[in-house]
Amino acid sequence: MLYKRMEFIEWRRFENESLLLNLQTGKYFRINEVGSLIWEKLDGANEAEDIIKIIVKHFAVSEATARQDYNKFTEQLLNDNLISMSDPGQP
Amino acid sequence: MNSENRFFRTVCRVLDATESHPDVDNSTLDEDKLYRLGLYHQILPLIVHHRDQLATAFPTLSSEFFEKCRLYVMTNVGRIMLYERFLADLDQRLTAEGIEYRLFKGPILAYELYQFPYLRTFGDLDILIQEKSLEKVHRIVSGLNCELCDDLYTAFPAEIIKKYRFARHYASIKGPFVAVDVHLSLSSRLHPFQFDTADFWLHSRTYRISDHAYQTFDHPYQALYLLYHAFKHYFFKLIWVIDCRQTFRLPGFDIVGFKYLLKKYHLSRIWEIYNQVVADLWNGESQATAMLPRRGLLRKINPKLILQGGMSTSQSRARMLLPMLYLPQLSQRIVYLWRQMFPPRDVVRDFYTSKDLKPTWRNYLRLRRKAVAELLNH
Repeated sequence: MLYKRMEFIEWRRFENESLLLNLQTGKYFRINEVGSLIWEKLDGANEAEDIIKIIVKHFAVSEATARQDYNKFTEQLLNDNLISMSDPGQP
Repeated sequence: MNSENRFFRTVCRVLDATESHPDVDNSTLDEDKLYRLGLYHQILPLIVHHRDQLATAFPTLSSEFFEKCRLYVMTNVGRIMLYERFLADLDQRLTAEGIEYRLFKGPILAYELYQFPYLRTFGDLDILIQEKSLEKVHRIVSGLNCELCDDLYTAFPAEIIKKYRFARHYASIKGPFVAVDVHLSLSSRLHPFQFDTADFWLHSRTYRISDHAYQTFDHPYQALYLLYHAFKHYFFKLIWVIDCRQTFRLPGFDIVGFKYLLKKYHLSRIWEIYNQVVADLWNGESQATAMLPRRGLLRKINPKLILQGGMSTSQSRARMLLPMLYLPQLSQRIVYLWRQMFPPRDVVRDFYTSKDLKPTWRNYLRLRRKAVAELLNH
Protein backbone atom coordinates (compact mmCIF):
# COMPACT_ATOMS: atom_id res chain seq x y z
CA MET A 1 0.00 0.00 0.00
CA LEU A 2 1.34 3.41 -0.97
CA TYR A 3 0.34 6.63 0.71
CA LYS A 4 1.08 10.19 -0.28
CA ARG A 5 0.98 13.45 1.66
CA MET A 6 -1.75 15.84 0.56
CA GLU A 7 -0.44 18.86 -1.35
CA PHE A 8 -2.26 21.33 0.87
CA ILE A 9 -0.31 20.18 3.93
CA GLU A 10 2.70 22.28 4.88
CA TRP A 11 5.00 20.71 7.39
CA ARG A 12 8.24 21.32 9.22
CA ARG A 13 10.47 19.22 11.37
CA PHE A 14 11.23 20.79 14.76
CA GLU A 15 13.75 18.88 16.85
CA ASN A 16 12.24 15.40 17.36
CA GLU A 17 8.70 16.39 16.33
CA SER A 18 6.95 17.67 13.26
CA LEU A 19 4.28 20.29 12.85
CA LEU A 20 1.73 19.90 10.07
CA LEU A 21 -0.48 22.68 8.84
CA ASN A 22 -3.60 22.03 6.79
CA LEU A 23 -3.73 25.14 4.60
CA GLN A 24 -7.36 24.48 3.72
CA THR A 25 -8.65 24.38 7.28
CA GLY A 26 -5.89 26.24 9.15
CA LYS A 27 -5.66 23.30 11.55
CA TYR A 28 -2.30 22.27 13.01
CA PHE A 29 -1.17 18.75 13.90
CA ARG A 30 1.76 17.88 16.06
CA ILE A 31 3.40 14.49 15.57
CA ASN A 32 6.09 12.75 17.59
CA GLU A 33 9.42 11.32 16.47
CA VAL A 34 8.08 8.00 15.21
CA GLY A 35 5.26 9.75 13.41
CA SER A 36 7.73 12.23 11.90
CA LEU A 37 9.82 9.43 10.44
CA ILE A 38 6.75 7.76 8.93
CA TRP A 39 5.38 11.07 7.65
CA GLU A 40 8.60 11.88 5.82
CA LYS A 41 8.43 8.54 4.01
CA LEU A 42 4.83 8.96 2.83
CA ASP A 43 5.79 10.39 -0.54
CA GLY A 44 3.91 7.91 -2.68
CA ALA A 45 7.07 5.90 -3.40
CA ASN A 46 7.69 3.97 -0.18
CA GLU A 47 5.87 0.72 0.48
CA ALA A 48 4.48 0.05 3.96
CA GLU A 49 6.85 -2.88 4.51
CA ASP A 50 9.89 -0.73 3.74
CA ILE A 51 8.78 1.95 6.18
CA ILE A 52 8.13 -0.65 8.88
CA LYS A 53 11.65 -2.02 8.43
CA ILE A 54 13.05 1.49 8.87
CA ILE A 55 11.08 1.94 12.12
CA VAL A 56 12.39 -1.38 13.44
CA LYS A 57 15.97 -0.40 12.65
CA HIS A 58 15.74 3.22 13.83
CA PHE A 59 13.90 2.68 17.09
CA ALA A 60 15.06 -0.88 17.91
CA VAL A 61 11.49 -2.18 18.34
CA SER A 62 9.90 -5.44 17.24
CA GLU A 63 8.32 -5.75 13.83
CA ALA A 64 4.90 -6.26 15.47
CA THR A 65 5.22 -2.99 17.39
CA ALA A 66 6.42 -1.12 14.32
CA ARG A 67 3.57 -2.48 12.20
CA GLN A 68 0.99 -1.58 14.84
CA ASP A 69 2.39 1.96 15.13
CA TYR A 70 2.47 2.34 11.36
CA ASN A 71 -1.09 1.11 10.83
CA LYS A 72 -2.55 3.19 13.64
CA PHE A 73 -0.74 6.32 12.49
CA THR A 74 -1.64 6.04 8.81
CA GLU A 75 -5.25 5.31 9.71
CA GLN A 76 -5.32 8.53 11.74
CA LEU A 77 -3.74 10.48 8.89
CA LEU A 78 -6.32 9.15 6.46
CA ASN A 79 -9.15 10.07 8.82
CA ASP A 80 -7.77 13.62 9.12
CA ASN A 81 -7.39 13.85 5.35
CA LEU A 82 -3.67 14.45 5.57
CA ILE A 83 -2.69 11.63 3.22
CA SER A 84 -4.30 9.79 0.35
CA MET A 85 -3.74 6.39 -1.21
CA SER A 86 -1.29 6.60 -4.03
CA ASP A 87 -1.64 4.75 -7.31
CA PRO A 88 1.80 3.38 -8.28
CA GLY A 89 0.89 3.81 -11.95
CA GLN A 90 0.30 7.55 -11.58
CA PRO A 91 3.11 10.14 -11.28
CA MET B 1 22.19 43.53 38.30
CA ASN B 2 19.13 41.35 38.91
CA SER B 3 19.05 37.64 38.12
CA GLU B 4 16.73 38.03 35.14
CA ASN B 5 19.08 40.53 33.49
CA ARG B 6 21.97 38.15 34.10
CA PHE B 7 19.96 35.44 32.36
CA PHE B 8 19.33 37.58 29.29
CA ARG B 9 22.96 38.62 29.12
CA THR B 10 23.88 34.93 29.17
CA VAL B 11 21.42 34.27 26.34
CA CYS B 12 23.23 36.93 24.30
CA ARG B 13 26.60 35.38 25.01
CA VAL B 14 25.70 31.78 24.27
CA LEU B 15 24.62 32.88 20.80
CA ASP B 16 28.33 33.02 20.08
CA ALA B 17 29.84 29.61 19.55
CA THR B 18 32.84 30.75 21.58
CA GLU B 19 30.76 31.11 24.75
CA SER B 20 29.95 27.44 25.24
CA HIS B 21 30.53 27.27 29.02
CA PRO B 22 28.92 30.26 30.71
CA ASP B 23 29.41 30.76 34.46
CA VAL B 24 26.99 28.92 36.73
CA ASP B 25 24.44 31.08 38.54
CA ASN B 26 22.51 29.37 41.32
CA SER B 27 20.15 32.23 42.10
CA THR B 28 16.39 31.65 42.02
CA LEU B 29 14.74 33.13 38.97
CA ASP B 30 11.19 34.36 38.51
CA GLU B 31 10.23 32.03 35.65
CA ASP B 32 6.96 33.81 34.88
CA LYS B 33 8.85 37.08 34.53
CA LEU B 34 11.54 35.41 32.41
CA TYR B 35 8.92 33.97 30.10
CA ARG B 36 7.07 37.27 29.85
CA LEU B 37 10.24 39.20 29.09
CA GLY B 38 11.51 36.50 26.76
CA LEU B 39 8.24 36.75 24.85
CA TYR B 40 8.42 40.54 24.79
CA HIS B 41 12.01 40.54 23.57
CA GLN B 42 11.14 37.83 21.01
CA ILE B 43 13.96 35.55 22.19
CA LEU B 44 12.05 32.50 23.45
CA PRO B 45 13.16 30.48 20.38
CA LEU B 46 16.79 31.37 21.12
CA ILE B 47 16.33 30.28 24.74
CA VAL B 48 15.00 26.92 23.57
CA HIS B 49 17.75 26.50 20.99
CA HIS B 50 20.42 27.04 23.65
CA ARG B 51 18.61 25.42 26.53
CA ASP B 52 21.34 22.89 27.33
CA GLN B 53 23.84 25.66 28.01
CA LEU B 54 21.27 27.84 29.78
CA ALA B 55 20.05 24.96 31.95
CA THR B 56 23.65 24.29 32.99
CA ALA B 57 24.32 27.97 33.68
CA PHE B 58 21.06 28.42 35.61
CA PRO B 59 20.41 25.05 37.29
CA THR B 60 17.44 26.35 39.30
CA LEU B 61 15.39 26.78 36.11
CA SER B 62 12.75 24.07 35.84
CA SER B 63 12.17 21.76 32.91
CA GLU B 64 8.61 23.12 32.87
CA PHE B 65 9.97 26.56 32.05
CA PHE B 66 11.89 25.27 29.03
CA GLU B 67 8.94 23.16 27.91
CA LYS B 68 6.68 26.22 28.05
CA CYS B 69 9.19 28.09 25.87
CA ARG B 70 9.36 25.13 23.53
CA LEU B 71 5.60 25.05 23.06
CA TYR B 72 5.74 28.70 22.07
CA VAL B 73 8.42 27.88 19.51
CA MET B 74 6.13 25.26 17.98
CA THR B 75 3.59 28.01 17.32
CA ASN B 76 6.38 29.97 15.68
CA VAL B 77 7.15 27.04 13.41
CA GLY B 78 3.52 27.10 12.37
CA ARG B 79 3.61 30.84 11.79
CA ILE B 80 6.65 30.53 9.53
CA MET B 81 4.88 27.91 7.39
CA LEU B 82 1.85 30.11 7.04
CA TYR B 83 3.79 33.21 6.11
CA GLU B 84 5.91 31.36 3.58
CA ARG B 85 2.80 30.37 1.68
CA PHE B 86 1.13 33.75 2.09
CA LEU B 87 4.26 35.54 0.92
CA ALA B 88 4.55 33.32 -2.16
CA ASP B 89 0.90 34.03 -2.96
CA LEU B 90 1.32 37.77 -2.45
CA ASP B 91 4.47 37.81 -4.59
CA GLN B 92 2.74 35.95 -7.40
CA ARG B 93 -0.13 38.46 -7.45
CA LEU B 94 2.10 41.52 -7.21
CA THR B 95 4.37 40.21 -9.96
CA ALA B 96 1.41 39.38 -12.19
CA GLU B 97 0.35 43.05 -11.95
CA GLY B 98 3.88 44.26 -12.66
CA ILE B 99 4.25 45.77 -9.19
CA GLU B 100 7.79 46.08 -7.93
CA TYR B 101 8.35 45.90 -4.20
CA ARG B 102 11.04 45.23 -1.66
CA LEU B 103 10.61 42.71 1.16
CA PHE B 104 12.43 43.64 4.35
CA LYS B 105 12.62 42.83 8.07
CA GLY B 106 10.76 39.71 9.35
CA PRO B 107 11.22 36.79 6.97
CA ILE B 108 14.47 38.10 5.44
CA LEU B 109 16.04 38.30 8.89
CA ALA B 110 14.61 34.95 9.99
CA TYR B 111 15.97 33.04 7.01
CA GLU B 112 19.24 34.91 6.53
CA LEU B 113 20.52 35.64 10.02
CA TYR B 114 19.50 32.56 12.02
CA GLN B 115 20.30 28.89 11.74
CA PHE B 116 16.60 28.02 11.49
CA PRO B 117 13.96 30.56 10.51
CA TYR B 118 11.76 29.70 13.51
CA LEU B 119 14.47 31.11 15.77
CA ARG B 120 13.41 34.60 14.74
CA THR B 121 9.78 35.41 15.56
CA PHE B 122 8.03 37.83 13.27
CA GLY B 123 4.42 38.87 13.39
CA ASP B 124 3.95 40.44 9.99
CA LEU B 125 5.40 41.02 6.55
CA ASP B 126 6.88 44.38 5.59
CA ILE B 127 6.97 45.49 1.98
CA LEU B 128 8.16 48.76 0.50
CA ILE B 129 6.27 49.88 -2.58
CA GLN B 130 6.19 52.93 -4.83
CA GLU B 131 3.46 55.47 -4.35
CA LYS B 132 1.99 54.84 -7.81
CA SER B 133 1.28 51.21 -6.78
CA LEU B 134 -0.65 52.03 -3.58
CA GLU B 135 -4.18 51.53 -4.91
CA LYS B 136 -3.30 48.32 -6.79
CA VAL B 137 -1.50 46.89 -3.76
CA HIS B 138 -4.50 47.75 -1.59
CA ARG B 139 -6.71 45.80 -3.99
CA ILE B 140 -4.35 42.82 -4.03
CA VAL B 141 -3.88 42.66 -0.27
CA SER B 142 -7.65 43.07 0.21
CA GLY B 143 -8.10 40.20 -2.25
CA LEU B 144 -6.05 38.05 0.11
CA ASN B 145 -8.71 38.62 2.79
CA CYS B 146 -6.84 41.36 4.62
CA GLU B 147 -8.13 44.76 5.64
CA LEU B 148 -6.70 47.96 7.09
CA CYS B 149 -6.71 47.35 10.81
CA ASP B 150 -5.75 50.59 12.53
CA ASP B 151 -8.15 53.48 12.81
CA LEU B 152 -5.25 55.76 11.93
CA TYR B 153 -5.40 54.42 8.41
CA THR B 154 -9.13 54.06 8.09
CA ALA B 155 -9.79 57.51 9.59
CA PHE B 156 -7.09 59.49 7.77
CA PRO B 157 -7.77 60.50 4.16
CA ALA B 158 -5.60 58.78 1.57
CA GLU B 159 -3.92 62.09 0.64
CA ILE B 160 -2.73 62.57 4.25
CA ILE B 161 -1.33 59.02 4.37
CA LYS B 162 0.53 59.71 1.12
CA LYS B 163 1.64 63.20 2.20
CA TYR B 164 3.24 62.00 5.43
CA ARG B 165 4.14 58.56 4.11
CA PHE B 166 2.54 56.59 6.93
CA ALA B 167 2.73 52.83 6.63
CA ARG B 168 -0.52 50.95 6.07
CA HIS B 169 -1.22 48.03 8.37
CA TYR B 170 -3.34 45.16 7.06
CA ALA B 171 -4.50 42.06 8.93
CA SER B 172 -6.44 39.00 7.84
CA ILE B 173 -10.20 39.04 8.43
CA LYS B 174 -10.69 35.29 8.19
CA GLY B 175 -8.65 32.13 8.44
CA PRO B 176 -5.28 31.93 10.18
CA PHE B 177 -3.91 35.33 11.22
CA VAL B 178 -1.49 37.11 8.91
CA ALA B 179 -0.53 40.78 8.80
CA VAL B 180 1.14 42.93 6.17
CA ASP B 181 2.64 46.39 6.55
CA VAL B 182 2.77 48.31 3.29
CA HIS B 183 5.36 51.10 3.36
CA LEU B 184 5.75 54.04 1.03
CA SER B 185 9.00 55.03 2.70
CA LEU B 186 11.26 53.81 5.47
CA SER B 187 10.17 56.49 7.92
CA SER B 188 7.22 58.84 8.00
CA ARG B 189 7.80 62.52 7.20
CA LEU B 190 7.20 63.30 10.88
CA HIS B 191 10.12 61.23 12.05
CA PRO B 192 13.44 62.95 12.84
CA PHE B 193 15.36 60.61 10.53
CA GLN B 194 14.64 60.55 6.84
CA PHE B 195 15.90 58.08 4.27
CA ASP B 196 16.26 58.50 0.54
CA THR B 197 13.94 55.68 -0.47
CA ALA B 198 15.22 55.78 -4.03
CA ASP B 199 18.74 55.11 -2.69
CA PHE B 200 17.52 51.99 -0.89
CA TRP B 201 15.45 50.97 -3.89
CA LEU B 202 18.49 51.08 -6.13
CA HIS B 203 20.70 49.09 -3.77
CA SER B 204 18.81 45.83 -3.77
CA ARG B 205 19.59 42.15 -4.10
CA THR B 206 17.77 38.90 -4.62
CA TYR B 207 17.19 36.59 -1.69
CA ARG B 208 15.62 33.16 -2.00
CA ILE B 209 13.13 31.73 0.48
CA SER B 210 11.96 28.20 -0.36
CA ASP B 211 12.41 28.33 -4.13
CA HIS B 212 10.99 31.85 -4.41
CA ALA B 213 13.17 34.84 -5.19
CA TYR B 214 12.47 38.11 -3.41
CA GLN B 215 14.03 41.53 -3.73
CA THR B 216 15.41 43.05 -0.56
CA PHE B 217 18.02 45.65 0.39
CA ASP B 218 21.76 45.20 0.04
CA HIS B 219 23.42 44.29 3.32
CA PRO B 220 24.82 47.72 4.28
CA TYR B 221 21.38 49.25 3.68
CA GLN B 222 19.66 46.44 5.56
CA ALA B 223 22.08 46.97 8.45
CA LEU B 224 21.50 50.72 8.44
CA TYR B 225 17.76 50.29 8.56
CA LEU B 226 17.99 47.66 11.33
CA LEU B 227 20.18 49.96 13.40
CA TYR B 228 17.75 52.83 12.98
CA HIS B 229 14.80 50.52 13.68
CA ALA B 230 16.37 49.17 16.89
CA PHE B 231 16.44 52.64 18.40
CA LYS B 232 13.72 54.59 16.59
CA HIS B 233 10.93 53.39 18.79
CA TYR B 234 10.27 54.62 22.27
CA PHE B 235 10.77 51.11 23.59
CA PHE B 236 13.42 48.47 22.93
CA LYS B 237 13.56 44.80 22.07
CA LEU B 238 16.60 42.66 22.58
CA ILE B 239 15.97 40.79 19.32
CA TRP B 240 16.50 44.04 17.39
CA VAL B 241 19.97 44.42 18.89
CA ILE B 242 20.70 40.76 18.12
CA ASP B 243 19.49 41.24 14.52
CA CYS B 244 21.95 44.11 14.09
CA ARG B 245 24.78 42.08 15.51
CA GLN B 246 23.98 39.05 13.37
CA THR B 247 23.95 41.27 10.28
CA PHE B 248 27.33 42.80 11.02
CA ARG B 249 28.76 39.32 11.54
CA LEU B 250 27.65 38.04 8.11
CA PRO B 251 30.67 36.80 6.14
CA GLY B 252 31.97 39.52 3.85
CA PHE B 253 29.81 42.25 5.36
CA ASP B 254 30.80 45.57 3.81
CA ILE B 255 31.64 47.58 6.94
CA VAL B 256 33.23 50.38 4.89
CA GLY B 257 30.07 50.79 2.81
CA PHE B 258 28.00 50.69 5.95
CA LYS B 259 30.04 53.39 7.70
CA TYR B 260 29.69 55.58 4.65
CA LEU B 261 25.91 55.25 4.96
CA LEU B 262 26.08 56.08 8.67
CA LYS B 263 27.65 59.42 7.81
CA LYS B 264 25.34 60.01 4.85
CA TYR B 265 22.23 59.51 6.97
CA HIS B 266 23.59 61.10 10.16
CA LEU B 267 23.18 57.96 12.22
CA SER B 268 26.69 57.94 13.71
CA ARG B 269 25.39 58.69 17.18
CA ILE B 270 23.10 55.68 17.14
CA TRP B 271 26.07 53.59 15.98
CA GLU B 272 27.99 54.77 19.08
CA ILE B 273 25.08 53.88 21.33
CA TYR B 274 24.73 50.47 19.67
CA ASN B 275 28.42 49.68 20.13
CA GLN B 276 28.34 50.58 23.80
CA VAL B 277 25.23 48.47 24.37
CA VAL B 278 26.71 45.49 22.55
CA ALA B 279 30.03 45.86 24.36
CA ASP B 280 28.17 45.72 27.69
CA LEU B 281 25.85 42.86 26.76
CA TRP B 282 28.53 40.71 25.18
CA ASN B 283 31.05 41.42 27.91
CA GLY B 284 33.59 43.68 26.43
CA GLU B 285 33.31 42.86 22.72
CA SER B 286 33.06 45.86 20.46
CA GLN B 287 32.22 46.27 16.81
CA ALA B 288 34.52 49.30 16.54
CA THR B 289 38.28 48.91 16.56
CA ALA B 290 38.87 51.71 19.02
CA MET B 291 37.56 52.30 22.53
CA LEU B 292 34.62 54.67 22.40
CA PRO B 293 34.33 57.54 24.83
CA ARG B 294 31.28 57.26 27.06
CA ARG B 295 29.48 60.55 26.95
CA GLY B 296 27.03 61.44 29.68
CA LEU B 297 23.88 61.34 27.55
CA LEU B 298 24.84 58.14 25.76
CA ARG B 299 25.06 56.35 29.08
CA LYS B 300 21.29 56.75 29.38
CA ILE B 301 20.68 54.11 26.74
CA ASN B 302 22.27 51.08 28.30
CA PRO B 303 21.62 47.34 28.54
CA LYS B 304 19.51 47.81 31.68
CA LEU B 305 17.14 50.09 29.73
CA ILE B 306 17.12 47.72 26.77
CA LEU B 307 16.39 44.67 28.93
CA GLN B 308 13.56 46.35 30.79
CA GLY B 309 12.04 47.22 27.42
CA GLY B 310 12.26 50.99 27.53
CA MET B 311 12.17 54.11 29.63
CA SER B 312 10.26 54.11 32.89
CA THR B 313 8.03 56.90 31.74
CA SER B 314 5.00 57.49 29.56
CA GLN B 315 5.20 56.82 25.85
CA SER B 316 4.63 60.46 25.02
CA ARG B 317 7.51 61.51 27.25
CA ALA B 318 9.77 58.79 25.84
CA ARG B 319 8.82 59.94 22.34
CA MET B 320 9.93 63.42 23.34
CA LEU B 321 13.14 62.48 25.15
CA LEU B 322 14.78 59.69 23.20
CA PRO B 323 15.44 61.50 19.93
CA MET B 324 17.18 64.19 22.01
CA LEU B 325 19.86 61.58 22.55
CA TYR B 326 20.17 60.59 18.90
CA LEU B 327 19.96 63.86 17.03
CA PRO B 328 23.49 65.23 16.69
CA GLN B 329 22.73 68.94 16.23
CA LEU B 330 21.01 71.34 18.61
CA SER B 331 18.98 72.86 15.76
CA GLN B 332 17.60 69.39 14.89
CA ARG B 333 16.60 68.82 18.50
CA ILE B 334 14.83 72.17 18.73
CA VAL B 335 12.92 71.51 15.51
CA TYR B 336 12.00 68.03 16.70
CA LEU B 337 10.83 69.26 20.12
CA TRP B 338 8.75 71.99 18.49
CA ARG B 339 7.18 69.46 16.13
CA GLN B 340 6.29 67.19 19.04
CA MET B 341 4.66 70.04 20.93
CA PHE B 342 2.94 71.42 17.81
CA PRO B 343 2.53 68.78 15.12
CA PRO B 344 0.99 69.77 11.76
CA ARG B 345 -2.74 70.36 12.12
CA ASP B 346 -3.62 67.81 9.44
CA VAL B 347 -2.13 64.92 11.46
CA VAL B 348 -4.08 65.58 14.63
CA ARG B 349 -6.08 62.39 14.91
CA ASP B 350 -8.92 63.94 16.92
CA PHE B 351 -9.99 65.97 13.89
CA TYR B 352 -10.63 62.72 12.00
CA THR B 353 -12.08 60.58 14.76
CA SER B 354 -14.35 63.19 16.40
CA LYS B 355 -16.95 64.16 13.82
CA ASP B 356 -18.10 67.30 15.61
CA LEU B 357 -14.60 68.68 16.16
CA LYS B 358 -13.73 71.18 13.43
CA PRO B 359 -10.03 71.56 12.52
CA THR B 360 -9.89 75.21 13.54
CA TRP B 361 -6.83 76.85 15.12
CA ARG B 362 -8.76 77.38 18.32
CA ASN B 363 -9.60 73.68 18.64
CA TYR B 364 -6.04 72.78 17.66
CA LEU B 365 -4.49 74.97 20.38
CA ARG B 366 -6.96 73.62 22.94
CA LEU B 367 -5.98 70.04 22.09
CA ARG B 368 -2.28 70.89 22.19
CA ARG B 369 -2.59 72.65 25.53
CA LYS B 370 -4.21 69.51 26.94
CA ALA B 371 -1.52 67.24 25.43
CA VAL B 372 1.36 69.38 26.74
CA ALA B 373 -0.23 69.52 30.22
CA GLU B 374 -0.51 65.71 30.25
CA LEU B 375 3.10 65.46 29.19
CA LEU B 376 4.33 67.72 31.96
CA ASN B 377 2.20 66.00 34.59
CA HIS B 378 3.55 62.46 33.93
